[in-house]
Amino acid sequence: MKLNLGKISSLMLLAVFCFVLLPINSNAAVNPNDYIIEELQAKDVPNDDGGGLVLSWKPLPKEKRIIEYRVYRGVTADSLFYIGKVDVNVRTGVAGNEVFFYDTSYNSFLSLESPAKLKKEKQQEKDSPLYGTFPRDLSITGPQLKNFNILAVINEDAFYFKNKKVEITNDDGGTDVYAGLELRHFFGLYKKLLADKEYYYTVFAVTESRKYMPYAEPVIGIARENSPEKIDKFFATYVNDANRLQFEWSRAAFADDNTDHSIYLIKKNDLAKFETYVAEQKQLEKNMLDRMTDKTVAEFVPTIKENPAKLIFKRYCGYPYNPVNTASVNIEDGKIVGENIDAQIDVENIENYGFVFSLQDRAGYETFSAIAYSDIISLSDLPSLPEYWEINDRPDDKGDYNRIYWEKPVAFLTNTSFLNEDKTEIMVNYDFFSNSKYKNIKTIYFDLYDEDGNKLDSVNEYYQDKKLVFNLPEPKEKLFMKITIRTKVDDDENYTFDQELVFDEQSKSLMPGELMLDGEKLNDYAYSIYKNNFSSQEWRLSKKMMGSQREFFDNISYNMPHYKGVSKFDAEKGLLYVDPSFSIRMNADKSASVSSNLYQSEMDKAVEKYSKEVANYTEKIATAETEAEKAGFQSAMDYYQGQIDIIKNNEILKKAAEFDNDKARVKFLKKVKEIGNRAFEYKMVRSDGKAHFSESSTYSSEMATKLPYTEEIRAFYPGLGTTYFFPIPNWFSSDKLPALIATLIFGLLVFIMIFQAKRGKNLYVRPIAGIEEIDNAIGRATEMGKPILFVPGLSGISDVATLAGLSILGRVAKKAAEYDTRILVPVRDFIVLPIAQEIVKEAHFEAGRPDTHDKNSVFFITTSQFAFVAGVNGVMVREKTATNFYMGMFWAEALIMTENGSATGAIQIAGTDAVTQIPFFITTCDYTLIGEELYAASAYLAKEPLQIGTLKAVDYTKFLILAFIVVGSILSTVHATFLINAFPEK
Amino acid sequence: MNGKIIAFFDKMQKLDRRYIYLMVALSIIIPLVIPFNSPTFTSETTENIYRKIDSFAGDPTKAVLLSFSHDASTMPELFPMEVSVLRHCFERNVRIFTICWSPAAAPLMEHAINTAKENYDVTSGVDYVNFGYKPNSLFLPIVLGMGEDISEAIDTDSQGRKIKNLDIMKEIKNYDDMNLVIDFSGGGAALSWVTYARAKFGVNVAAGITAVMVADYYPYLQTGQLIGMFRGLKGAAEYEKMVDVFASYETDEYPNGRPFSKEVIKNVKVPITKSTIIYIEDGVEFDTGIPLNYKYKVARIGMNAQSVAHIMIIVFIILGNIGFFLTRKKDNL
Amino acid sequence: MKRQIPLIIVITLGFMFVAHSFIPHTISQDFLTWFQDWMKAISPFAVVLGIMSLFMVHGKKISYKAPNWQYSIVTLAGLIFTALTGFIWGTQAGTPYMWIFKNIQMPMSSTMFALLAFYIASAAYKAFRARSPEATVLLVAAIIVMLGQVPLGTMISKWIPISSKWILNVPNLASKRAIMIGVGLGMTATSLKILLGIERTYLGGGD
Repeated sequence: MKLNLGKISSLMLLAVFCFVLLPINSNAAVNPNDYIIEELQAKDVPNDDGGGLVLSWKPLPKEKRIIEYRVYRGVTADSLFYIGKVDVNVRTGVAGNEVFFYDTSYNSFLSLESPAKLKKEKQQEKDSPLYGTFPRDLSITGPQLKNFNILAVINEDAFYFKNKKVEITNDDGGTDVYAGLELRHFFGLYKKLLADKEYYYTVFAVTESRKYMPYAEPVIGIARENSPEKIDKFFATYVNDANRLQFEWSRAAFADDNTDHSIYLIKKNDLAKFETYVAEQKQLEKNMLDRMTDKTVAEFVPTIKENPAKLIFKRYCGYPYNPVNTASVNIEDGKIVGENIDAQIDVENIENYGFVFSLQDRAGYETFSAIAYSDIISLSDLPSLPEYWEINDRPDDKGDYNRIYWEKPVAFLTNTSFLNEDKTEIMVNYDFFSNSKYKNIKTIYFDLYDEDGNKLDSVNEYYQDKKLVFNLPEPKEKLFMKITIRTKVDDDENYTFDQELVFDEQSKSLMPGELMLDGEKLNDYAYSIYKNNFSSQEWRLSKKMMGSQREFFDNISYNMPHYKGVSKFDAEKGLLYVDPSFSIRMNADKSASVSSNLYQSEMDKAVEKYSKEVANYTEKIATAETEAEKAGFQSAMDYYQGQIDIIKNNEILKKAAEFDNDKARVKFLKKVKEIGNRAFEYKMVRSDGKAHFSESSTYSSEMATKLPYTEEIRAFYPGLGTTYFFPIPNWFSSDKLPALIATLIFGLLVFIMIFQAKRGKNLYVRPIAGIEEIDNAIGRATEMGKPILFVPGLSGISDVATLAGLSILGRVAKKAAEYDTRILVPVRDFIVLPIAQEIVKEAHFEAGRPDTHDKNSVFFITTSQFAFVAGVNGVMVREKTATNFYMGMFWAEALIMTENGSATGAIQIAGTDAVTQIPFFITTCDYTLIGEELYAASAYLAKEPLQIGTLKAVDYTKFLILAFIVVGSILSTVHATFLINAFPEK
Repeated sequence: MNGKIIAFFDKMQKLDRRYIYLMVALSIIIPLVIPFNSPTFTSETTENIYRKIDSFAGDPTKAVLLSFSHDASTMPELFPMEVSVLRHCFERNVRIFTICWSPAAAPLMEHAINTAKENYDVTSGVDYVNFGYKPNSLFLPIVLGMGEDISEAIDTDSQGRKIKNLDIMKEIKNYDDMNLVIDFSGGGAALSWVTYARAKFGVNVAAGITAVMVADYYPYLQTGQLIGMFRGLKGAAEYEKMVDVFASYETDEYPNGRPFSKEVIKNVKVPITKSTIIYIEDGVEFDTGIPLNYKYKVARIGMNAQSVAHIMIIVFIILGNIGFFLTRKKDNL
Repeated sequence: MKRQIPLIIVITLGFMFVAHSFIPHTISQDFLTWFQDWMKAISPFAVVLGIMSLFMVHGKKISYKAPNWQYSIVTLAGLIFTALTGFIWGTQAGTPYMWIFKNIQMPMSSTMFALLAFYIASAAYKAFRARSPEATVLLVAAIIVMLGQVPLGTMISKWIPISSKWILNVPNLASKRAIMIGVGLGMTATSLKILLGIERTYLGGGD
């Protein structure tokens, strides 16, 4: 179609009409007030720490084509800030009668991605109280800090080395010291709502055409501290021959403010009393909440003040990891063993006792589980723990994994299917788990038996492709498989698993049953691996795994940000103030934390301050009236005295105090802290989830060969390398050794060949038609007076094929310049663009024809794959190119280009390493450089010894690879797998 | 008579390519407009993906990552795959993450999720998370970073929420948990997952690719570096049927779908001309009453068109060859 | 100098990355992350270059009223208009930008891809002729694989999908692997040539 101005303008008009009017038109003439949402409420989230509210409102009908609801929050009704949105599917709307938005736990408050300035929300009335998110401008956001519970996550190095010491006069007239940090030093600031504070919320709808509708009348929400949730599973077991009680429970979903796990013992005749106590405690909580909102409500006084159940176990769980969920309690002479535990139990009549588990939170609330009664078992009923397990640093990594492996490999059947109509030929799929010790499985024998124990068939899987084929004499409903694994290290002929195959009516196939090893159902018991470092008091769960698993890599991140509360700031300097103290590790008996400060002067001040407190409490103890009061003061005094002792006597702090500059001191402490945080001890629990578990002792081994840092720093950590394992970064990846050797051989060959070529030895290279035709093709274009088209592939500059394509472009462009023929180079990648431009320009200069160079001959079309093709096709058709080159990487679009080129009658030469596209090129182009020929082309065209030498080296390397393939195939066929195993497997 | 035939084939030899184009167009359009029932035979490459995802059913410690590495052009082939995988996951309560690497893929990803979730009661952040568009230049840092900690590598989702705080992430840390990555692309994107994520962390990688690219991926399938593959529209059609037959199945014994069985899928037919899912096995019909929406059978309808077009091309090739022989004979005479 | 400085950069960084691939140490990994951050900074500049090129090529066409110069107006107008809608209304769902994407970009892209069906059909028609014994093998293999891809094949005989799978898995893979090994070596050789400074065309000019 020939276009003229008239057609163009009408086309443009049509386009404008479509683009602008259609989407807007669809929303013409609506009454915005119909779009105000209704029934907006903000309710407290149950079982939480008083930091969560849930908003709900009635969704607008789907006819209103709502795309999202935007939510705003503020501490006063006159300024509400955007906090989030709920996306809605325009076509279907919201299922159900309510839309929910959770304003719970720590979520983003301020970060570098926050906007620079506070903006009024658009499309709202002039006096609307709605604003965008909190800006980076601290003069606006700073005053809001006090309205929330703020948690700052600080980049470790920034905290240590980029801080500015700030002194602020406090209310007592003294000075407090803070570390001032800029916003860019934080990974982010996160907020949680404050308990018992009023927050205002509003919501408005956004329509499909992104029209912001009026907001609903703001509502008030107050988050309340609640008692923890009731866990749903709790089991108790009495192991009679060990005289021990074992407990296991399910973990709480919300555990942020939980502090303790406790277990109580109740005599059956105390049950009624206990239930009253629990009910009254609940009532008390409700009464307290009610009285907060309505002062007139009468105070509820429980009749039972003390828990009638006896505490038999208590453990701290107030840390942000998954805590241990099993407990063992020993009994000695009818008394429960444990610190601060005073309870009796008559083990002869254990059925007379019930057990209850409780979760306690920071506010002192306690929630009890349902009562569990113990079943009585003996030690032999408990699962077996691995006889063999090992923990060490994972090799070949950057130093962020410890590895734990145990026992021998496991193989098991996963699925079956019939291969013929008679159901006598079956395919059985299997899988296996192995570990670092038994990396190379020699072979797996699968022996198939029928119900009567007759052996039907057997397979020797020395190459494990996870597929087996068995032939049966007749169809069977039930089969037995014996799986024997033979390993290369401590091989045992009798390491055998049993698994049934039973016909299943539903799936109409033989389904694998339970995997048995030595009479134990392997998957009934899961492994839980727990770990603990020098910096935390209690064990945490690292990973829970199926009973058939044999190895686990424990990730120990390098990233150790500092978490701090923030409430003070300086808007002018753009600084946020945080506490400059930081903990290094727990002390030896894990009773207190060893902390230091960014500034040594503060350490000295702290001693002074603590001494004052000690003096203060000593005085108070002397004048205390009751025993309870006295005990309270005593424990406070002990705490301060303990802190003074640590600062004065702790080896780490003493060593740190010797540094005279803070930077060197903090650098030293950072290293020490790293070991404290990243060295872990491990233990393993194997359990069925119902308190039938066995727990290993903490793993220990011979001293590890590689340890971090210097002897001086390690001295602070006894046990490092034997019980505590620190991941070590490695300098060479041993699984890349074959690659390194191959690279070196190849490099060597290149040098030898280049040397030979330079000495003038005639190296024969096979002629390639496509390359030899390049000159003719350029000549043809010259004769016809038509331009040449050169497409240097569709991928980026990091693709070697593109580089090869560009090398050829250089040579083609030079020839074309010599012949004075125009060359057109459409480019898809904009990084390739300037390079291609430079190449063509240089080619013209080298050919001595700078005058004929048109810098617009190399041009960018688009990055979109198929739009690019459309553009190239357009060039072909309009410019009637006589010769088309396609050199580089091509994908599915290749055929569209070349077929069009062939239709225009151009001579086409293609070269690509995209294997799939080669057939298309061969059918539609005159000459095709297949795979490596593309890379060889540059050498052919240059005809320099350097280039030809490299080409020759490639040939010899290929010969070497071929030799390896042949030898490897022969060796594998005769079951000699050493050569295959010498190469990395993945 | 003989002369007429020879003349016809002579003409066929010199057939203008536009006639072929026309025939191809008709053979594609007609089956699309008028759907008919044709059997769908599942293949192992697709079954493997289904079985892998199925093994995650209901497990909060497992998740699947769908990587959308394509734009609108390859949507007809890839979109049905994405919808059926999402539908499978929603049916079987498998946690899903989605991510894309080009701005053009972000709306497609959004569209796929919205299409699939319409019929399910699923919540973003609980049952699935859309990680959103991440620049291609971050591909490597993200892919490697997820080996250590997904919430650190991804940071925020498409709605700007911190991944770390989402419910779905509670028991999911890295590739040990999110153990399956399916990459949908019309190019070689899945191979980058094989090179980096699989080699380094041993993740299971599967590919959803256009039929044109299938041959490129076979070597990786054979070595086990890819656990499974959607072979173009055919793969999507197979998956649709598997979801119909297993995941959508509802009885008291299996309230959330039944386990995969090769024996069942071999013999069951699911007619696409009906508006509900009906199983026909050995001539016995069983109407589940579950609606079979157009979006859940679009690949199978498409396969009809593909079948007809394939046959058409085969016929053309055969005609062309007969003509070729006849003319050669004539020339030889 | 103009040639030497880039060459030095290429060679140094090249060898550093070779070393990186063998060193898993955290220092080596951090180097990569740091480098990638800088890579990101390069792309935006290149985008500007790309757009400038587009404007120059089409602007010249319009000002010289070269043949079909009207198309250039459409191209530039499309570019400016789409960019503007993005800048003004944003790129969220429901904005004009997304509308353009969904209703123009998506169908046009699909259309181009759909052309493949036609081209493959005509390419197949042209290519598959039993001209020689080798071509006959190709022809038969093609028909089997095509039938294996559709239900009809399985309905004709269960051996068709099995044979199709065999063809794809054995002869096809064998040749493919051979090409891939060649490509791999070719890539290594080219990379090595670049690293050693033997191949310099990509820096502009022939030698």
